[in-house]
This record gives sequence, structure tokens and C-alpha cells, in this order.
Amino acid sequence: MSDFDGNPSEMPGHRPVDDGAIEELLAGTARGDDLASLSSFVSSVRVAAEAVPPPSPALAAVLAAGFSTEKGDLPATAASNVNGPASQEAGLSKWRTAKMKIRGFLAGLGVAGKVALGLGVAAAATTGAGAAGILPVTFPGTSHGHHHASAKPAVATTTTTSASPHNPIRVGGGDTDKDGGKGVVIVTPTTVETLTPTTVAEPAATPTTELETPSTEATPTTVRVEPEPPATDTTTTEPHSTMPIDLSCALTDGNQVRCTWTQAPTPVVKYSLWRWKTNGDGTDYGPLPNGSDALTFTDTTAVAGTAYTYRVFTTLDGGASGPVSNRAYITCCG
Amino acid sequence: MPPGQPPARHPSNGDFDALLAAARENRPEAWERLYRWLAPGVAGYLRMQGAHEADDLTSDVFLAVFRRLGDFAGSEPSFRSWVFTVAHSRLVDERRRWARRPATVPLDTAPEVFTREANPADAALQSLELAEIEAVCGRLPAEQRSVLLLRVIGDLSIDQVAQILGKSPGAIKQLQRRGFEAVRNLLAREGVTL
Repeated sequence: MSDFDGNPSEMPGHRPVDDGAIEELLAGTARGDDLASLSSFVSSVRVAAEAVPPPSPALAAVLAAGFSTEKGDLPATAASNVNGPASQEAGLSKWRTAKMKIRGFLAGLGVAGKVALGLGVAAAATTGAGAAGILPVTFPGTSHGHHHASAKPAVATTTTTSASPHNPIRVGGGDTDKDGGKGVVIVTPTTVETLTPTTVAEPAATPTTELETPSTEATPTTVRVEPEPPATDTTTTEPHSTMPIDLSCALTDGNQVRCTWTQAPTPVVKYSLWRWKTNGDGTDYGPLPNGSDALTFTDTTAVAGTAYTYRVFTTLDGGASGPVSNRAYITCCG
Repeated sequence: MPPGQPPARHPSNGDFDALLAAARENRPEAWERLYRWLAPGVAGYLRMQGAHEADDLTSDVFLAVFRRLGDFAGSEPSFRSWVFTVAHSRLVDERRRWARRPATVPLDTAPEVFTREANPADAALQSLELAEIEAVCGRLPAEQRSVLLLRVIGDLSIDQVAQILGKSPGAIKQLQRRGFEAVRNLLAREGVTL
């Protein structure tokens, strides 16, 4: 599979990637031409892993209705998925096995047959996943009240690489984000640190039921944490304690969104504030026309009732990408 | 796409304990929040590992996670690590079933993946396409690939990755160093320019 073994001697012109450089790469603060390609690689990998995958029918059912009993039993459609390979035919969950059979069946269908069958399947799938709030046409908050606000939104329904510089923000486009959210609350930068474990690890407990592959499945940490009562959540901003730049956005009186951010920890030549529809299709992705060293920008083109995500990107001297901010989520002008 | 940062460490506002408690109470909205928080990374990890049906496998992972939430108690980092542990285990299981190697795309057929742009905003979008990313990852040795993806996508620590892969922290550090070197060499050897 591999063509390279990572031998640094293959590229004598590069300094080795040491542990410190790796940490910088992972933190998004790596500088220098030597690390530029790796920085882009890291970023691209992360971008490629930002889209929320569509749930399987079984998971959609669980997300929509939960497990069927207080004992945690699964709905019939979901139960077949969690028993693990050992209990499944050929190691596959039933519905996945069935899907393989369906694929074989589809291979034998003509175009008209596929189209006709596809309409029915699409309708059924839409119903299930839509009920779970995963499909892009249904913002999760529509079915779960205020809870949508703090869920990490999907940047795009497909891989986010679908964003293109040739597809700037489409302000007047269709709006599927009417989630009713209002405003934005910024999380303090100490969030992550305050969540350091307060318990002492103990050996893992044996699960009450056998659900996983015996040999490879890890058991979870078993130390109990007394949970606090669920808090009412109206926040709409991604925690950003690990982000080099703190971005905050808020509505103004004039139906505008004013964003401010902190100075980057490393010298940059430009801050670029980007905006996209929180639950859009990625085509409305693009930079706002700030493009300077200013630390604030007022977005006057946001459309009322539309949920947006904002994020600041930076450019280093020489053109390389620099530190970025947290994402700020806000529903405009409601 | 502009360079990203480590994935969001929290599903919402740092109230992980409350969210976990809600999820344990079989509240679907809490499960959905957990899913939307971690499923992208899990799916990305599985996909770039060459999983046969990454999205379906991701669903399997979260069904297992939700079903076993009652057995979990701990911090948010521990939860994230646990989810990726389940994901990696499922991946291993799937590989046993399918004996399938990660799909690769020859880079010589791929377009140039980096270009220098005068417009920083445009340059921010000049990034590796998904297929190219998968191709690069697919050409890494399996252990290096696992370490890099768990570190980059899972945002997991050296110790967490070591636990998942059953190796020492020192071995993980060596694997990630060699992995990043391999990526850099691969990109350079293919004529990628910045």
C-alpha cells in the first residue's frame, strides 16, 4: 500500500518534522515554507472530515425516537445494528446485508426501473433521516426546539471541498435555515480547560449487554461523574478555547451582524472574515469584503432569518495561511 | 477551503456533563447533538482509512456508542477518545470482513493540488481535493495513517492514540514523525508546489 516510509533523507532540503513542528501543525500555527505543504495537508484532511454523514435508517430511527424502552432496548430496526459482527450473518448488520442485496438487484435493473425505484427509496429515506433532523432540508432545531443551537452545524451536506472561490456568498439564495435562533453568545476561552477530568480513571466495567466486537472493542471509562442538571442552551457559538483567534459576532440594531476578533498570536498580513450558511449546501461559502488588518467587520448583507457561520482566516507574510478563529454561529436579524 | 483548526472539542458551550446526562436519559436531541459533533470526524477518519462504507460504519459506531452510554462516565476528551476507539475497532472488524485495502488514486492523474494565488481568499480555497487526500492517506503505511488521522481528525493526544492503537506513546511519536515526513515527501515527489 505504501510508497513511502517517511525517511527524511529522501528530502535532504527539508528539516525533519520534529514533535514541536507537529504540534504546531496540529494547532494550526505552523510557520515556514518547510511546513507549508503539511499545513495544507492537515487543513485539507480536517476540511474533508467536516461534513455530517447521513445516518443509516437504523440510526435515523434512534435519533428521531430514541431507544424503545427505558431499559435501553433498541427499536427493531436499530437493534440489528448494534449486536456486532459476531452475531450477524457474515459479520454484517442485517440492514447492511440487505443493502448489499439491493445493490445487486439494482445492478440488474434498467434505467427506468432505477428511476422508479429511486423515487420511492428517496421518499422513505427522506422521511427517516428528516425525522432525525440530519437532512439539510431540516435544520435540527426545527424538531428539537432550542437544542439545535449548540449542535455543531454541518458546513455542507457533501464534502466541504465543494466550496469554491467561484461560488461567492449567495445572499439572496434560497433559505432552508429558518431555525428561529436569535443572536449569539460567545463562549469564554476557558471552556476546554475547565472541562479537564474531575474524576480518577478506574478499570473499565463490563457492559451490561454484549453489543460490541469482543476482541477489539474498547470499554468506556467507568468512573461515574455526577451529572449536573441539563442547562437551557441558547448559545450558538462554537467553543474556541483551542483557537488562536477568538471571534465574536452579534446582531446590531440595524439588522446587521457585527463581528470582532482578537489579534492573531503570530504576525499576519491580513484577516479574512468568511461567512456561509450554517446548514447550506456549501455554494454560499466565501469571504466577506473586509480583507485587511482590522479586527472588526460589520456584515450588512446577511439575510433575515438565515443562520450563518462566520470564521476568520489569516494570511501570513508570503501568502501562506495562518491561524484561524473559532466559528461563530448566528441567525440574522430575526 | 482555508486551513482548518482542530475539531471542535465540545458539542456545546462546554456543558458536556449535562449533555451526557441528557443522552443517558435517552433524549434523542442529545444523541443528535453528539452525532453532529463527532460524526463528521468519525466518518472522515473511516473514509480516509479506506472503509468500505464509511457513512454506514459511522452509523454503526454511534448506535453502539448510544447504546453503551450508560457504561460511560468521564470527561469530554475521554468521550471523544472512546468514540474513536469504537470507530477504530469497527474499522478493524470491517477490514477483517472485507480484506479490502484503502482505495487509492494515483497522484499522477490528479490535478495540481497547490497553487500560489495572489488573492489570499482564493488561495485559501486552493486545497487538496477529497480524492487527493484519500490518495495521500492511502499510500501511507497503515500505522502511520492511523496515527496521523487520529491526531489530525480526532484531535486526540499522543497518549489517547497510543491507547487506541495499543502502542507506547514513544512509538506513536515516531509513527507520526515518519508519517508527516512521508506525506511531505509524497507531495514533493509528485511535484506539488506551493
